[in-house]
Amino acid sequence: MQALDIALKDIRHSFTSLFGLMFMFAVPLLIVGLFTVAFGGTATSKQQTFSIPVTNVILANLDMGIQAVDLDPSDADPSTTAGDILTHLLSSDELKELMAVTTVTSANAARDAVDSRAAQVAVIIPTAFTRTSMEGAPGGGVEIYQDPTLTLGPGILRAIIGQFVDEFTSVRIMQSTMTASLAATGITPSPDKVAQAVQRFVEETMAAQATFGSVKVEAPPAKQQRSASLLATILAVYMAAMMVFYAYYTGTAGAESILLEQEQGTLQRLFTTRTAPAIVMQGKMLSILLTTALQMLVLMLVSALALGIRWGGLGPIMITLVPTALCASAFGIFLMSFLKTTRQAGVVSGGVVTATGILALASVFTMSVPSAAQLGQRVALFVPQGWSLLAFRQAMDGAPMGRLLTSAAVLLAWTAVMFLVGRARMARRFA
Amino acid sequence: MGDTLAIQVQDLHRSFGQNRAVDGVSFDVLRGEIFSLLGPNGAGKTTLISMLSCLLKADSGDALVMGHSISVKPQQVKASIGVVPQEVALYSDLSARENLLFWGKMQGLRGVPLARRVDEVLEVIGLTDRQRERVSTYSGGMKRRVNIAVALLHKPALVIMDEPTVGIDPQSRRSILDNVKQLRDQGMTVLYTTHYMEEAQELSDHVGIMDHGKLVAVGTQRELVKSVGELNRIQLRLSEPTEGFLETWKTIEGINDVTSDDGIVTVLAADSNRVLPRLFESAAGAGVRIVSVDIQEPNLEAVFLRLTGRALRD
Repeated sequence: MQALDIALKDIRHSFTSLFGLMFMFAVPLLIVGLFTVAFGGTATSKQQTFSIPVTNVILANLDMGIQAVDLDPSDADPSTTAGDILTHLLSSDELKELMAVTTVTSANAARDAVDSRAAQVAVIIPTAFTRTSMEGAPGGGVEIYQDPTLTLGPGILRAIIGQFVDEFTSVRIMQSTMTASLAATGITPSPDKVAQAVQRFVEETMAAQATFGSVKVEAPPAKQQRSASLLATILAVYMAAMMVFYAYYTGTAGAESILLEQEQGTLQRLFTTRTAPAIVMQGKMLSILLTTALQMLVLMLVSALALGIRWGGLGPIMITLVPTALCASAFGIFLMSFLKTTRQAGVVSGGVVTATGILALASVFTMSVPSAAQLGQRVALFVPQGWSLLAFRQAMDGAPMGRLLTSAAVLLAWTAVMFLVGRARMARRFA
Repeated sequence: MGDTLAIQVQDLHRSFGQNRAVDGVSFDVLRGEIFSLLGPNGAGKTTLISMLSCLLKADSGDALVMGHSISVKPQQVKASIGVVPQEVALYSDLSARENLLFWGKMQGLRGVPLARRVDEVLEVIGLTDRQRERVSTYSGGMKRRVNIAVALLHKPALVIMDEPTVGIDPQSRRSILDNVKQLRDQGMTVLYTTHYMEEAQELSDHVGIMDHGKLVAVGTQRELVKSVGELNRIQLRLSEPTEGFLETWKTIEGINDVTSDDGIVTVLAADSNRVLPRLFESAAGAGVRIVSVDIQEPNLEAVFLRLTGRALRD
């Protein structure tokens, strides 16, 4: 009961502080407002009024197909090359809203088209593309020559080509695994049979892709994202990133009240009352937790209304929001346990929250560069904010409950460690 | 014996690095009395009462507060005490009433009994009319009174007050000193720290004198004065340097000691009326003029000076 009294007193203090309110709600909402002004009209429209600008692609397919592989050309149809399939894919109806593909016969002609701004991106498929794709070389050696100011179009192109090469590699692995398995049982399959099996695998893979879509630029037809556009998805990730960043800021600012009360002498006075120190700390934690949770709820609600962001179902939201609020609170207490004055806290906590926030959000700001984003996602998991962001993205993507619970469990583990360390250090200071 | 004691301090020690803030302090406080800890700033008074209120752990030694050990049963100790910290420890964005309600809850009070008790203490400190105003709008003296009221909400058996009158106007100080005496009249025990000798003299049943972390003397005022010989203190300012000349004063009958510091000569004597004429005679004979004379009856200041070699406000 006393913990709740302390929490309510602190919450009242937070909500009557102009500075606190500004950073809890005004600044994040201002950012939401900017997003809304910039993109809101298109992202919330029920009609798909927004479309990513079509990228003009000039494509030079130099792939020699099977002739470039050290095999007898008579064993296969030389007219079917990986380059042809890729060209076909990029020119397909599914992608025509994203890119307009024109073909040329030489690499120089393709580059010249970009240099002269006749095209924005040149895709040059090398002569040995079929072979390198089968060997699983990254990107299959495809050269993308682009207008340096573009990020989104080339990013999508890279993703498509990367996936295309991955599938070729999987065919090769399937073929060699099948041959080796049969050989182990004493069967030597004829090349025709192997070719038939590979053909069947490819056909089934293509059929599966047609069903699930390996490269989706429109929103998947999942329930919670029925009307979300690609832009709304990007906005949602940015919004989640902002929200996580400010939630941890609030957690830290809330925990700063411990130092403030220490300087005012009220914390020491609390410790002289019959209320146990552990209850005092629980009250502090509860106030930070409730403030942070309320802040996130408000931001989620406003961004959902203003930007049409779908945060996921109520269950996933709660599984994500509560551990994040807990973790942000524990993060603040942990940080404050190393500091002695509010003056120190102003400098150090601001720096630490910003630094860890940047680590966590690196993947978001490098979304258009897949390799950097991948690295960023790994780095983000070294800080609690990274796990919070991951959990929110999983909730928004409709990830399976198991993955959500894993992220929540990691967040709770962070919470436990940081709270216990922070509490132990505080207890040592005051007893 | 234990039932008559509110506090039994047994060889308490506490250091901060090389600084021995409290160095082997032992004393007893009787139930229902005002016990003053008198000493200059930095003497170790606040550290000592921080340990007695379970805010600081002792390096060694122990104390029984209302029969509970501060090291073994701190929660029971806290339940039986009310602490008035040296600095005002209130929430300035809350009103006096809101502060009292909050602190009352921290002491386990709730509902109607809490509201009634808040009304009572507001009446005692004379702030009923302004109870709903924010504490930040109060004068220093009003804040001090609320600061004391917080410690009285749960009617503790022992009130620990750490220099509650520092930096306030004479009127508020008078009000606080009267409040402290009322607490004793109501049967509460008060442990009161101060560096104002006159406060200790006015309030105390027993006085402990602290200096450099040690309790240098403890007793009633009469006992303490007696312990240093009940000497009058005569302070004289002379017209010119007195080297050599003061040695002759030490030989005058009835004078116990003569010291000189910064142009002021201090003479300790059992009977100032008897020695003063002889001091004037001696000075006149030596051609030295006495510019001013100040006679002090034996008091705690003199006791402190005698015991520590320096004045309380040094």
